[in-house]
Amino acid sequence: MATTTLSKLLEKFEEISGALSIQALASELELRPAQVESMVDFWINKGRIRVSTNPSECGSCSVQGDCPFILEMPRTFELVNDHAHNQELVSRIPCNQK
Amino acid sequence: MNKTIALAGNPNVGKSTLFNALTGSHQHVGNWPGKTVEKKDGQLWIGEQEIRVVDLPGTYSLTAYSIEEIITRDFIVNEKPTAVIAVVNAANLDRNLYLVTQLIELDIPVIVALNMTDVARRRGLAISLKGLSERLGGLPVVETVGNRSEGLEDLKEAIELVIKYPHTGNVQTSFSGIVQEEIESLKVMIEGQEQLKENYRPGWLATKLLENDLDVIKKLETLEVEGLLESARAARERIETQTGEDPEILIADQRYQFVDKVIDSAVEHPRETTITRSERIDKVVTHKIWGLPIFLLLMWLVFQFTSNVSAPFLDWVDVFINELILKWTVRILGLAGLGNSWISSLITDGVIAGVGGVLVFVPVLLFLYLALGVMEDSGYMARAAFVMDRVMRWMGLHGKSFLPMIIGFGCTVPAVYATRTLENEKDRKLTAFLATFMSCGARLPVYVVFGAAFFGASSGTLVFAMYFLGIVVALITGFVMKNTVYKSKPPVPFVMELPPYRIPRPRDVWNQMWERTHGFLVKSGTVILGVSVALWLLMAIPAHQDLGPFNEIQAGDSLFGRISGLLAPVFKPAGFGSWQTTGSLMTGILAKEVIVSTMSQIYAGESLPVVDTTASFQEDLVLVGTGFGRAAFLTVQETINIIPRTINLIPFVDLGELDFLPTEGQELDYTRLEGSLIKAFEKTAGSPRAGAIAAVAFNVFVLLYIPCVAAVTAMKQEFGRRWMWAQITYTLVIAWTASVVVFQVGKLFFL
Repeated sequence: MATTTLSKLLEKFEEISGALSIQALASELELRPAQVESMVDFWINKGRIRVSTNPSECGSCSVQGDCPFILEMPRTFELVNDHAHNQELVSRIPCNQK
Repeated sequence: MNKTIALAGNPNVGKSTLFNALTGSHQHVGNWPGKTVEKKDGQLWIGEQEIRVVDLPGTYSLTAYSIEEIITRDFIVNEKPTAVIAVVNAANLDRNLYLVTQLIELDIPVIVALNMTDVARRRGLAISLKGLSERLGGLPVVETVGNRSEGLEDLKEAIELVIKYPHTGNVQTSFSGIVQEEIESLKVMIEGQEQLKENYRPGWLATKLLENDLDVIKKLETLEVEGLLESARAARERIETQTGEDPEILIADQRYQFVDKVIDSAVEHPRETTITRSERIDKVVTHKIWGLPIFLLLMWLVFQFTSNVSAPFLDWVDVFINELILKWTVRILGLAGLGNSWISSLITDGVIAGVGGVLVFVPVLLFLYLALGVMEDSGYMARAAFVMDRVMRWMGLHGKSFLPMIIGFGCTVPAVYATRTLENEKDRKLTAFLATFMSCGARLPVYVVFGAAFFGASSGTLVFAMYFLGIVVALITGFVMKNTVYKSKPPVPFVMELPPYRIPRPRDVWNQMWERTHGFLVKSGTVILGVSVALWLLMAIPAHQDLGPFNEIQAGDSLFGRISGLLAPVFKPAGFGSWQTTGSLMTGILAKEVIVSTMSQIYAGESLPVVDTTASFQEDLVLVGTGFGRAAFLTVQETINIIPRTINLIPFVDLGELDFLPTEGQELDYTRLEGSLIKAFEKTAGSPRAGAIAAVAFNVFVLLYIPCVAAVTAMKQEFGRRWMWAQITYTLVIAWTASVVVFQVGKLFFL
């Protein structure tokens, strides 16, 4: 039984099914969304939550930094079950910012 | 100089801007010793006093999980700066004050620079500087807006005061209960050991030992402090036994509680308005049932706006390119005696027809980027992925797959790389497979030119239909493959960051619009220009020497024409079996916009405009100028017409549309390329109506066939050659089948 808000947050991650927004998660825990984001940082550091940023990598495309067709998507967070230390799956510099 | 001020803070809080404002040009940029992390050092003068200012790496906390954290805390612990300026984003205190609590634990003088207060105010946050300072034990709190150098003098005054009267904050930070008790007892032990007392702040060291900070423990192991380490281990066990929690989690949790209390007493935040407003909107926009129809309706509106509202300007750019640029280039070349030379052909049939053919679509893209900018800035774009998650799960697919797929609406290449966010290899391959069916932005000009040519005011519906068809084909393919080839474990649930809704800011939307349009212009001036020149060459080289000399042959007799002609019969059942369409599809593999530039080059060669030699340059300028006014007027009209067109989607409703400037002949509103396409498709398909059905079939093929060469290369790089060929084969088969079905079934119903 979790006693700290941090542990409750992790428990919520274990319970959810499907996609959930930070806002909805905050609402369930009676926290501010910014509080949840800050606490998620802690679990990312601990390797229990993984953050996925959608890369804007352009591979061999010749246009690279000037491409008009790049769309950015928000970050997503998911539970890491193997307790391995988290590392961002993709942490490349967006090609439109190179 | 013996005073040092360090700037610490979360990433992207304006720390470097503040550093630059404080030090001006007196700074040195290098790397931290033995690290690849950038180090910025500078000098600040307050009166006669020179102060060293160090910009520390951005970090969210002072644990030992990242190199930035270790550099920051090692600098503060080892170099003992005179004071630390904690640069805090006033608009996100929850995240930023967590670091401040840890700086306070280090027992050093801290000045809080409350930066980005303008952003906080815009979000309705009212922060009491006095309240914040009191809750933080009397630390100086200064309001700054780094990018406007506001609050700099106050900050300098605070630095001066801290140097004169160092103050470490009279606050027992966050800890309570057993944590505080164990910290106190370890602190006593640390204070009893000279070597530790000299190098570390006892309270901070005690906290780190309870947190089981391996970096600190490793350093202590080199000293003879086994007793302390053993006591720390025992303290951790006692805490865990009593609370059932890992001490590190308990300590962090108490910090968060402390931050919460600080914010509660010092900040009036409008969560009752902003957050609940976003929640209220989300209840409708991401609703289980209404979410999807709303998403589709918005998509429909975007494409109405993109294709119909931009149409008058598209016509105007066409007039600008053909009546001004092309006509006067031809005239100048004629005056220079190059009228019928290959140089003239290269410039007019190659460069102007090819690049100009694509530049005509700048207004379309401008309007698309405007719509996308509004959707992104308002916060809806992220919701689109959220809404589609349910559909994906319903089809048995991974909800996160839709993120790369939405990126695929922009470009397939980053969409393929974005599949890396999926852990499961099968999910990755399947998602990349599906992302290719999302209609990328480069295909849009094709739909727009065909929509305008064949469907007039309903062109937006064709564009919408193409995007919708892409999603449907992707979902069906995904459903089939998920239950056959790519069976995998149930998807992992996830949490998504959703920005709060807000009224889009014109400046941000404009910047996005301009950056993207600039990108398109760059692409036109590089990739498309290169392809246009190469294509001109291939269209100038005769397939056989008996057909005629270089550049003096019919395009169909050129090397390009004949090669395209070999494949053309394949597309006959789909109604567009001509060498011109086949050739365009072939070059479209290089980049999808090239389909339009190729068609423009091919049809330009077949129907060069008669150069009106009587009109003067001024008269042409007037023609273009009045055309602009007319386009602007029609754009307003078409924007208003979106309303009746949308309401007319309701069955049996038929509202009239505005038509202030009726054209006498519809042909007047066609661009050069559109006019040529109508004639060409009518000829290939057999009748005007069959031509329109063939045009739809052609668009379906463009939507579904092989993505561009850059996307194919990305797929090979990510999933291997075999997978790439499987994907190429599948897309070709599905594209051909779908276009044949559209043409043949369409003929049955509409002819």
